[in-house]
Parts: sequence; C-alpha cells; structure tokens
Amino acid sequence: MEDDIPSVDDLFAGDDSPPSEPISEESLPITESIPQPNVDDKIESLMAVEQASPQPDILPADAEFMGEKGGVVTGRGRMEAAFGTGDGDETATAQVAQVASDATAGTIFHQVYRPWRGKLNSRWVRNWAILRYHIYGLFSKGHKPWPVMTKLVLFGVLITSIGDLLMLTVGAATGVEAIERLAGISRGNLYGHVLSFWFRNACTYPIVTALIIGGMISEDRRNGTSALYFSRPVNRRDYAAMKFLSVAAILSVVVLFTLSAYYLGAILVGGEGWSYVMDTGLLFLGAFIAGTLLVFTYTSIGLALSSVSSGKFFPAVAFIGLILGTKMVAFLIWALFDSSAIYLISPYDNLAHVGQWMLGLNHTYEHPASWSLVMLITMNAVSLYILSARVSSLEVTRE
Amino acid sequence: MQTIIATENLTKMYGPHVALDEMSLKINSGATALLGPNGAGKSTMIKTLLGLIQLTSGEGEVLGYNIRTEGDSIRQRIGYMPEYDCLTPEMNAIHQVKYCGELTGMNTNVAMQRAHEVLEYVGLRDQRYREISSFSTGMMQATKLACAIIHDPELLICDEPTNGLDTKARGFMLDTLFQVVKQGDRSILMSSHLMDDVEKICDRIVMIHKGKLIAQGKIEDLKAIDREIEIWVWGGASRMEAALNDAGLTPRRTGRVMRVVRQDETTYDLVLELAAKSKVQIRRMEDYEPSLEDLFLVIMDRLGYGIKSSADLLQSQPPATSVAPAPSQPGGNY
Amino acid sequence: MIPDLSQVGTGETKEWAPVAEAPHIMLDHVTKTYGSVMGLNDVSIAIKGGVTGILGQNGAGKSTLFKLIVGRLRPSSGNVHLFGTNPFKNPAPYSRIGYVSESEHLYDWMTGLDFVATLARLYGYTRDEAKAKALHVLDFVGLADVVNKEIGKYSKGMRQRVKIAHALVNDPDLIILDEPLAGCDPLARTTIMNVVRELGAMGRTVLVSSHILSEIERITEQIMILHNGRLLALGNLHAIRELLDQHPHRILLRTDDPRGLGTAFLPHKDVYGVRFPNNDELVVETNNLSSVHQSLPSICHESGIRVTAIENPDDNLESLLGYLIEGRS
Repeated sequence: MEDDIPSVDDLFAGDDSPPSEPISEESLPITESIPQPNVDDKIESLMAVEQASPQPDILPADAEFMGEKGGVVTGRGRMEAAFGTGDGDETATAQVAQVASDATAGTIFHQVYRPWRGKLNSRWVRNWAILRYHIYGLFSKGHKPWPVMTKLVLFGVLITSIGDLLMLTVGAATGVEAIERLAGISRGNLYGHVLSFWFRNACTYPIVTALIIGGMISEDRRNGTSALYFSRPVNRRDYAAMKFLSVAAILSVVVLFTLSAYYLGAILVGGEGWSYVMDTGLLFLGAFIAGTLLVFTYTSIGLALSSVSSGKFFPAVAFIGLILGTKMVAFLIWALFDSSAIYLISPYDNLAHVGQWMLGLNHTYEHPASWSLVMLITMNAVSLYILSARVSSLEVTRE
Repeated sequence: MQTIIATENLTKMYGPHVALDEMSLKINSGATALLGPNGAGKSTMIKTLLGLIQLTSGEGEVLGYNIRTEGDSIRQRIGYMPEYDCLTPEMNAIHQVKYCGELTGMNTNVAMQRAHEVLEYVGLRDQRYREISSFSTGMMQATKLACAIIHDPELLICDEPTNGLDTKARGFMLDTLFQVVKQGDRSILMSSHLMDDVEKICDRIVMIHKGKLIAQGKIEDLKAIDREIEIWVWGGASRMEAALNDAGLTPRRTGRVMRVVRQDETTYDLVLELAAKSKVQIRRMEDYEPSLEDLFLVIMDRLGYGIKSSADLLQSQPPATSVAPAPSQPGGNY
Repeated sequence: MIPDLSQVGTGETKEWAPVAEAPHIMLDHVTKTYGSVMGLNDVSIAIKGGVTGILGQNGAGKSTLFKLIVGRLRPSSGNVHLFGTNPFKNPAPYSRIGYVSESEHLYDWMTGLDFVATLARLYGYTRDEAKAKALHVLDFVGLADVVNKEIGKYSKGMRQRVKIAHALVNDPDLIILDEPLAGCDPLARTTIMNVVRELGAMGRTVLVSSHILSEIERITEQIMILHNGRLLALGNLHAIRELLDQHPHRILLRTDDPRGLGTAFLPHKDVYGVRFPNNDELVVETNNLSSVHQSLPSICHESGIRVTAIENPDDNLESLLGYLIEGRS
C-alpha cells in the first residue's frame, strides 16, 4: 500500500486551482445562455445522424426469446388482474368532501440537456480531490462536513500541544530562568511532547484521533457513499490510501507540526543560536520519527476500527477504549505480578518504549525494546490487513 | 446505432453459487431496460459492466474497453445512479454533485460550473444550497441523477430510478431520463420493476433470470400482434356478456371489463349494436395490445413461475404435527 | 359511510368476539397532531369489506391513518373502532389485523422463516403451527427457496415480500398495506394484486396505498383521497368524477368520419359541444356523462359510422387526483 502513496509534489502537480481557495458559492454566476458546442462537435453530430438514418433500424431477427424467434404473447395477465372488484352491475356511490376550486394542472416542461466534452484528469488528481475533500472540510464549507465538536476539540488540542512553546515564550518574556530550564530542549521534553502518557496520550491525542476516525469509513458504509467512489474511476487501494493520508495529515499537524514549532521556537527564544541544532538535531530527529510512528499507528488502528463498523460512535469509543484500556489492564497486572512484558499488549506502551530507545532515555520497561518494536509492527500489520479486507467489502450496490 | 456493450460467455461464481451463467449480451446505443425478477442477478450484472468484479470466465467490452482490465476507463465514461441512498446527508446538493465530478477527474472550477448546470437540469435549481437531509425522496433521486450525469457520460446506468417516488416526481424523473436519450443522444441502461416506466423510456429489453439471459431485443418484436377489443361496461355487464355470447363473440370478463377477439373491422359495429340493444353504457372501448408486463409474465410462466391466486393462500394448510418433536437443543429450535 | 354509533360495541368484556354488522374500521372525527404539525384532520370513515385504495402525495397523512388503525398511534381526539371495539380498551381486535408498514427495518440477523414464525407465535400459535404457517405464506409469496437465508442478505423486493408474508400469516380480516408493491418484480406484483382483489371480494377489508396509480386502478375502484391530513373524497372513482361538475366531461371517439358522427350527436340534449382535434377523432363535451353514454351505442349504430375506440380521457385516477389535489395546492 505504501508504494501507491504519492509524494506531495505529485499530489499538487495536476491541479490548476490554488488549493487554499475553495470556490465560494456566490462568486460563480450561473450561466444563463446555452453554451455553443464547438463546431467540430456539431459536424460530428450531424454526420452521426446522416450515417445512422439510412441504416435499417434493427432486424426483427434481433429479437430473441429463450432461443425462439418471436414468441407469441397475449394479454392474458393483465386481463386477469383487470379493473374492478364489483360485478359491474351495481350502482357506484361516492362522497366528495370538498370540491377543488380551480384546476391549474400541468406545468411547462423546459429542460435543456447540455453536453460537456471536457478533459478528465488522471488518477492523482482524483486522489488529490479525495484528500482535499477531507482536509479542507476542517476549514471551509463545501467539503466533508466535520461536526463542529470535532473542529473545536481539534483546535483546543492544537493549542495545548504548543503549550510548551507558549511556556518558553512566557519564560523568555518575563526573564524567569527556571521556566526556561524546565521547558527548554532536552531529551525528556522532546519525548514528552510526543509520548508522555500524562497529559498528551491520556487526554489529547487519542481523543482527537477518535473524533477524526469516527466517521471516516463507517459513514461511507452507513450513508452508502461508497457507491459514489467505486462507481467512479477510484480503486479501493487509492480510496484506503487517501483516507489514511487524510487522517495522518491531520494528526501530523497536531503532533509533528507542533513538535517542530516547539523545537524551532525553543532555539529562537532560548537565544542559543542556530549552531545549537548541531547538538540537538539528532534528538529532534529521534522524537520526530517516534512521532511519525505514533501518527501511523494511531491512524491504522483507528481506520481499522472505523472500517469494521457502520456508526460514528463505536469506532471512536473503541479507539479510546483500546488505547487507554490496554494501558490500564497492563498497569494493573504489572502492579500485581511485577512483569513488564504485559505492557506489550498496549499500543501506547510499545510506542513509548520504542521512543525511549530512540531518544536514548532510561527505559521504564524491563523487556527489550526490540520486542516492543516487533509488537508495534504486528499491530500495524493486523490493522492494515483488517482495513484492506473491510474496504474491499464495501459495496456499490447493496445485496 | 453502434454496439456499446458486448459480452461473451460471462460467468461469475460465488463459491458454488452461480451469479452469472454464460451471459452473452449485445446492447446497442439507445435506451435499454435490464429486467428480471428479484434476485435474478441484475446487481451482479451492473457491477460486472462497471468493471468491478473478478470474472470467473468470459470476456466483455463496454464502450470499447475490456471489462476485466480497463475498469477505470469504463467508469470514467459511465454514469451510475445507484438504487439505494448514496448521498452525504449533511452536505449541500451543489457540493455533493461537485465532489462527484471531482472524483471522476474534473477540475474544481469545471466541476462547480457543471454541478450548477446539471442540478438545474434535474429541476433542483432553487434547492441547490439546501442540505440533502432536508430533501424529499424525489429530490434525492434527482440529486443522484445529477451526480451520475455531471461528466456527461456516454452511458447512464440507472438502478430503479423511480423507486419510492410519488406520481409527480416519477413523471418528472421519467421525462428527465427521456430527455437524456432524445436530446442528449446518450445511452441508458435502466433496471426497473415498473413495466410502464420501462415502456415510456426504453425501446429494447434484456431480461435475465437466475444469472441466465432469457430474452433480448426490441420490445415490439418480442410481442406478437394478437389484437383484442377491450370494453368497459356500466349498468348491466351481465346482460352485455349474455348478448355477446349469443352473438358468438365469447367474451372474457372480469368485473365490468370484457375482452373480445377482434375478428375484423365489423367487430366494432357488432359490439356497439349489441350494447344499444341491451341498453348498457360503454365507457371505454379500445384495442388492447399486450404490454411489456404481459410479456414478462408470459416469459416467467414458461419458466414455471405462474401467478398465484388467493386459493393458494387459503388452501388447507399443512396440519401442524400433533406431537411436538423433542427440541434438539435446550430452548428449542427457535 | 357515515359512522353509526349504535353499532359500536362497549368493548369491555375480555371474551372478545367481533361485533356482528359493525364496520371493520370506524374512525369517528379522528384528529392526530404531532406537536404543531397536523397529521390527520377530523377524519370520519366507516369501511366494511372490500378493497379501498388510499391515495395522496407524500406527507398527505396516509401513514398516520394506518398507524392510527393498527394502534401505533393514539388519536389526539376522536375514536378509532375496529370490529366495533375500541382497541385501546380491549386489544383483542389487533389479532385480526395484518399490517405491512412502510418501514424498511426488519431483524436482519434472523432467517426469513424464523422472522415470520416468531411473529406468528405472537398471535398465539404453537411453535409447530407457527412454523407451518410461516412456511406456507413464505412459499405463497415466492420465497420458498430462501426461507433459511438471513433477511440481511435479501434484496429489496424479497424484504418487501417478507413483510407481506408476515401480514398474511394470521389469516387476518383487516389487511393494511402501506406501499406493498415497492421493489417487487411484475410477477410478485401481479400475484399480490390478484390476491388483494380476491380477498376483498371475500368480504375482508383491505386498505392499500400506492404511488403507482395504475396499480390502484387495477386493484379497486373504491378509493379514498387524502390531502394535507384532510379527507378529500371517498367512494367509487367514477362516481367521484361525476360529482366534479365544473370540469366538463369529454368523450373521445375515434372514427373515420368524425364530422358526420358529430352531427349525429348534436341533437342529444346533454351534449353541448363537439370538437374535432384530429382527422379521425371526435370529442363530445357534456355535463351529464351517464346520459350521453346511455344513448351513445344507439347513436353510433343508427348513424352507421364505424367507431373504433371510445375513451373518457378525464375519467381516470390521474386526472381525478389532478382535479382534486393540484387544484388546491
């Protein structure tokens, strides 16, 4: 599936409208005049008529009826089901409550079918349309109708995610060095921005993921909109890949964009100078990769849940339950039996373990980090398998 | 008059279940109806024509493209109007239609302009900016049609386009589809259970049953001419029936409706003379030609599916076993 | 047609037997409002036996009427009586009703047989009786092949037929069919229409609604027209049409010599005009359809001009609905 995911350049290449300006409804005048089809079309259609007319319309022998030519049909069925329950002899009675005042039946039917002979764009433009539909829906009308609740939560989470940057700014502005030392760039803070359980992975990231994936595929199943996709030249792999990319892109803004903002902001605010990148660049890279892993894992698990259901509510609740529930269960069992291997069932703990290993922090788990990595890959593989199996069961018609 | 759909020995198996059985079709441009009883394989057929199904065997071409390998190209040139709801309730009609255009590969600006055009064409000019959730069934169907024709497809496939519509909306939908064929010179493949609708739009049918092709061709060619005169008698249908019998016309009668075989031109005169003698009113007299529905019923009758009557329903039912067999599991079989 | 209160039983005994001679359905000034929305406005009807077609646009109150009759809604004012009993005092009449609702929702996880048998058991049949009856009606509607498949896998027409099967399973005296034919193929359609007509002729009461006017015309001439919650007309379709005096009746005759035939019609006292729309058509305009029709055969016969078709272009459901509904909306 990864092979099909295009680079960003590919995505933007074929589209000639600036993506940041969705068309406003009012700015488009409705053309009142009938557009003249160009001359070639006219000649073509004239020729088509000329060619068609001299031919015999169709040979009677074309009619084929279960192997026989021209079956005999009489009006049997309709006679037997014909009008009237009475025997035809009785007198008919009726009441009319009110009598219509004036009859103005009939409307003038005036329709013009306007042909269109434009160019249809290639596959990546179509895919970009799907991606754009989901992402632009967050900002403007006319794309995917995200609930207001989701937009508000997303905004709130974005603000809390740059909380550490805000704190640094406050520290720099007020000159309190303690704040700067507390919130400045360090292994712990970089790790914390992406993978701290409290508060980000307990409260913000899973909830925002749950809200985004909730209706992502399940609503296509419920509303039957999958028919719109698959009766058009959109194949299932592209469909799933674009859904995946849309979710991943939104999550990346929440996780990775804020991480980068924090890192760059800290360098600027802290007054260390750009050479500080030499010291901390690898740490940042480690945190960035850990964040990418987090986004990827949450997206694949979330979309798998969204694809097995046909409601909005179940995938969201199941996602939060899965992330926090496994963590909770693992914690309880660990507290009882003191065996950290149980944390392998929790996606979050696997991510945290791999993140600690990447950033070179002290491990809080006793089992090797490679187990967590293997477990993480397994979880993603299973999720992507479920996703692809369920997407291929989406129907154009309902059986 | 060119061939738009040609298939040869299409077969599709779902496990042991045969959904399509050696289907060899040839459909020319124009309006064609896809008929068949419930569960005949119409949905599978449509999905096959859209190039969405891995065929077990057989070959086929739609608009000149292979249905096995060139599904994308086919779907770019076909408009499909599904039977069931397929719209996002929270969106405006105009944006939904525009998005459909974009999915086909149209540029955003072009898609927006076409969306306005087609929505006006299907009669939703004033409802363009309303949410789809507030639409009536007729408006939903019209929006679905708009979605299907935004890219001006060469072939429009409609699955039950008039299902659930009231009289007015149904007439409008039929007129609209008819205009697509006549004015737009496009082809339509339409599946419907309402034979009156089919006869209004289509001049050709393809009928399938249990995955097999059982009839195809022009509607008129399939119906042989066996003319009868139908009369509706008021005020003494029994007297009229007796009079017709005496004259040797042997009417078939249901309630106040009677049919006699039209022997020649003088049959009309004879009927009116008898009516004058027996002092009854003839409210309607017309030549009865077999309709498509009759054709359908005759074909099904030949396949062994007859019309049932209430005698079948009310016949003595199989007696319930007096001693209940022991349930095979606790709590019984239910 | 006017409700006769003397025929109404008290409905207080639990030992229930249908009140003889009572109308199967009686609505006595029934009004149903949903908040400020008017569902049904002061409707009084009494129906016993026969098939009645209920017509009206979407939202005219057809489904509200049906729900009131089957007891899914309670009238805001007025009374509903079934078989002479008020079902809200004694629910026994409900066991004599079969109801096909417009809702598409069935238990998708049940097989067709289980579904119908389970509902049959609610009428008090034993398990084996219920199963035998369910099999019988499912076979009747043509689902014998798929009784053991889950309903979720049925196509739309099959689901519709399951609904019809479960409405017929208790051999009801009062059958209410809300859009029964939607999605059915012509074979099932014809079968159901035949059966409805025959059940009506046996004296059972059938109410049927459909948007396809030709279907109603083929089932019955007895119709009831609702519009915006009001009862517009009830009775025989042709009789209703004759009551609409201000729309003149037209009789269309197809003949080779329309002018000659027109001359023959002019002396008739109820004919006030003839027109010749085509070379082979004659339109006779009148206010008294019955009188003209009565003498039409003899006029044609005596004139010696051959008539090949007689039509009443206005006397059908479509134009009737047009006059009654579209004239006022």
